[in-house]
Amino acid sequence: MRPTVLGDHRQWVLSVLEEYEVPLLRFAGRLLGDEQSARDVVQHTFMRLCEQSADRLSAAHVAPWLFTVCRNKAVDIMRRRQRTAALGPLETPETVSKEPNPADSAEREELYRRLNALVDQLPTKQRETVSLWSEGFTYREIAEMTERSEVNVRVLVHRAVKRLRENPDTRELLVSAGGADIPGYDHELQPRRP
Amino acid sequence: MNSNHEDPEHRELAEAQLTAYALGQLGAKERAEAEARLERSGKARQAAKEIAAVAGHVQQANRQISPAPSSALREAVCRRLTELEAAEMETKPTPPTAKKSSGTWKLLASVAVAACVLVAVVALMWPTGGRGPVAVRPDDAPDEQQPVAQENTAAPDAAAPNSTTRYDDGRKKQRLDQNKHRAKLTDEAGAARGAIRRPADAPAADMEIEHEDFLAAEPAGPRPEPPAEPMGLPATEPMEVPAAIAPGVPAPAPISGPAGRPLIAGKAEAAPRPLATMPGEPVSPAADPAGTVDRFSELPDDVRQSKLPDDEQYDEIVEQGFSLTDNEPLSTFSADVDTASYANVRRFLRRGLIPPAGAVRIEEMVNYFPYDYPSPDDETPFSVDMEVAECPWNTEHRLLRIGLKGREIASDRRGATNIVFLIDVSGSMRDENKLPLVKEAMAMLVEQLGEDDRMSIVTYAASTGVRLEPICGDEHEKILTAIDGLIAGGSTHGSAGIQLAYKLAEEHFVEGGVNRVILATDGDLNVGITKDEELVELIQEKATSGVFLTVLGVGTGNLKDSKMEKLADKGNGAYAYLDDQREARKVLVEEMAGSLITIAKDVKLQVEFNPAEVYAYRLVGYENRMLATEDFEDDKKDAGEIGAGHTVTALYQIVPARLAQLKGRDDRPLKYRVEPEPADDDAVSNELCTLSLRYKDPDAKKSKLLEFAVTDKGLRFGGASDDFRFASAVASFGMVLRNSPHCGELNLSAVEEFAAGATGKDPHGYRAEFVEMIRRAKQIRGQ
Repeated sequence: MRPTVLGDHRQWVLSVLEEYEVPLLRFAGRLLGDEQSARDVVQHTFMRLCEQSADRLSAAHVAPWLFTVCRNKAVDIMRRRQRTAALGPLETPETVSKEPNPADSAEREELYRRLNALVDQLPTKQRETVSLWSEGFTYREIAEMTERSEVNVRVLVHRAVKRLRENPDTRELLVSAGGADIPGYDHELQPRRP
Repeated sequence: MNSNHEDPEHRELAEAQLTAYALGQLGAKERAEAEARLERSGKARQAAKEIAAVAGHVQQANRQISPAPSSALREAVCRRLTELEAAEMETKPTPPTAKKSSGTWKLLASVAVAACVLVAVVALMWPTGGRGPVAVRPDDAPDEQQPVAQENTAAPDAAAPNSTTRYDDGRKKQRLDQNKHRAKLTDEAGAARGAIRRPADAPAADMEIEHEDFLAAEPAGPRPEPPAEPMGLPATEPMEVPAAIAPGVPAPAPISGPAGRPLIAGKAEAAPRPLATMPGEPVSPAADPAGTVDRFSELPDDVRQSKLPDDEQYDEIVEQGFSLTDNEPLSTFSADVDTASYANVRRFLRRGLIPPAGAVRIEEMVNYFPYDYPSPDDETPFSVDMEVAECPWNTEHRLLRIGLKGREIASDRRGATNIVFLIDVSGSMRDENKLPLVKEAMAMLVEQLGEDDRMSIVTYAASTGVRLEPICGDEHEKILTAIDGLIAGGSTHGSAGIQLAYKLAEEHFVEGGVNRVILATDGDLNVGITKDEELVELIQEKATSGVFLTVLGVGTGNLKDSKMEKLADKGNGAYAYLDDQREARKVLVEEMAGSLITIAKDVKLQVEFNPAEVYAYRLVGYENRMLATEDFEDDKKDAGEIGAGHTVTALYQIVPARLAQLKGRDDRPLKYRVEPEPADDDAVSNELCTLSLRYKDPDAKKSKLLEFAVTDKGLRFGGASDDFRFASAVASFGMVLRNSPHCGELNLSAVEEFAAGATGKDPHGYRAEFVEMIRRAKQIRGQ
């Protein structure tokens, strides 16, 4: 009879829920583009979490685990959509609700809204990778979570950032945020070859 | 030498390195390189600054999205927890009590559930995260979603910046908890073993990105030499790097600032398992009731040890837990004739290593072995054979074996295959999704070859060579060894390779058979004939010989797409792009072997369990082949192919209804519990389950349906067929290697016993070899 232990498990699950529901919803929403699917995917993730144990899933691994499960489920859904609707790469508009951040200026807010819209227009793989990075995961973690190589992740983030940098909207954002011009890449950057 | 640095891919990798630098994602060595480059170039400094700024804004913008937490979710989680707690309680007390007195049982379980709920409610009321009273609501107000949702959104709204802070604080707290947890583990594991593990909080900089990280480990022999400039990441001496970054570049740290979170502990990559303890499942601390390992959780020492020298990467496999028949009477999955995992496991064991959990795919191990199932005796392309007996790793449970066998087609009725692999092993192929993927794909194809088939391997890089002289298709071991030995390094000389490959193919031409050169490359064939037209002419000329060409493109940003497609087109062949293992499998196994002889495609299995007989069930393996229930009827939904003579075996571990203590289980918290309905005797039949199969004939678009029912005749394990006992031995070996939570008392000696007694006829000696592998594993684990 170990009611305390079971209670601990419940407490653990609920504290993880408390902490990660919003980040996961955000991530799933960015991947899937609609709120209901995002909520379904997140629910699936937490159902799975219930079957885990805090002893096995140590604190540092909770986040990667959650995002991996969430991501896999979202990918399933995207695949199904592609098959049923015979869509190309899924690029649906972002509809997850955005809460205005009163701390930011209205202008900044608008710029961020546009930046988010740009991110949502990235190809799925880039969008996924950038979203995970935005949630604070390292390349290595992202590689593990998305079953890609780290080099692959590196290139995906690079392409995404490059595309964003080259967009005039972003340029405006940078200027307004005190950034500078956006120069092209410098080919001197390449390693010297024999 | 051609001007390689004009190669857009190299340039992109160099740029990607800079981006990684600006985002603080480089290890010390590469960071030093990047900084040296920044020193040289003002433009680079400017670019890095820009990248950091853009990325920082992207991250901030992302934080602005804050969907409202949902009370419905919280309720669903609470219900699930209650359900699991009830199931857990059923298994806690000693089994004899459990069997003898269901009355006591019910009481114990009720008390336990009540206690859990109480504790949970108290815990929720604790002021932990600002949710306050809302947290308690889910259990008592399931229908009042509206107000709850509003209350929930109110908090993050009022102080939006705090929502991220709370999130991060939580992570810090978890990090502390994790330290405690780690300390505990280290104590338990012993200092020596604990020392192997990288500290959880090692800073990112310590995670040096080695070139080797991107290579599949080579079993032995020389380490690949870093090519002159692989992938634009030249090897340099490791340098001490000051924390401060080059002038003019914002420090990466603030970018990820609020998102900063504890890093994954070094290379210990493993994950957790579903709990799903079932009635009759032994729960001993040693057996790790909580779950087996995979990539994100703490690895047991034996697994970790094998992980370190390699750093190969494997998919996470989340093992199936038990499903309750009442909740999910249907279990749907796709047939799978893959066998790669067994070969891989074997490779590890031969090298004296326990394979990492992610490398152990149980269904592939089971399906590696041929089984003596009856051949179909009618028009159906495959036969179905089912058997139920005692589950060897948990004698209170039953094990259902489903066996499919494809119609055999005499080898003289299919043309023999003459395959020449032409593999690009230039430096750029070392990326994990290139040569290692190609090697994996080749290994998949090898398993499909038989004694009438021929295979050879030609590599091309700076120099071209025959790596494997044409060899009999059934010499799997030799072929796999040759594949294993392929190492990337050097520049690309495509046309010489093409010439040589065609020469071999022509020399061993099989009349009326399949003669094919399979070219695998990441792009440019940039030495020798460099003009597209010349290459195309060469291929066109070769195609007249009757040798077909398949071009497999690999790698990201394959910029020579059109060239490769043109080649394949002119070479009477196909061009396929392999972006991951699944695609490789599809191309080289489903489509290629399928073009040899596929007898049925899109084979799906759906098992409906009878709740009167089956309390819960668990499909052993097939984690990656699960289908949604509705996919079964959906002819558009892809599934596995069965080739001539293939056998497919699936095992279900079954918790008999009579064993289960149904009465302690309910979906709801105790307070609202509805008394379970009495068993519905009318619906009861003694059938265990019904298997439905859908498949399509190779050319058909519409599927056909087959149905078979099976009854449990109460066979003991010893009374089951050799095939049953052997398949369960293989499955249990996989479970032990994975440290499955469902192992119970199972250990390698027991597995050896199951297998040794079930080798049967074993014409190819596969089963005997398997027994050797178990012994090998025992040695490695020091048993």
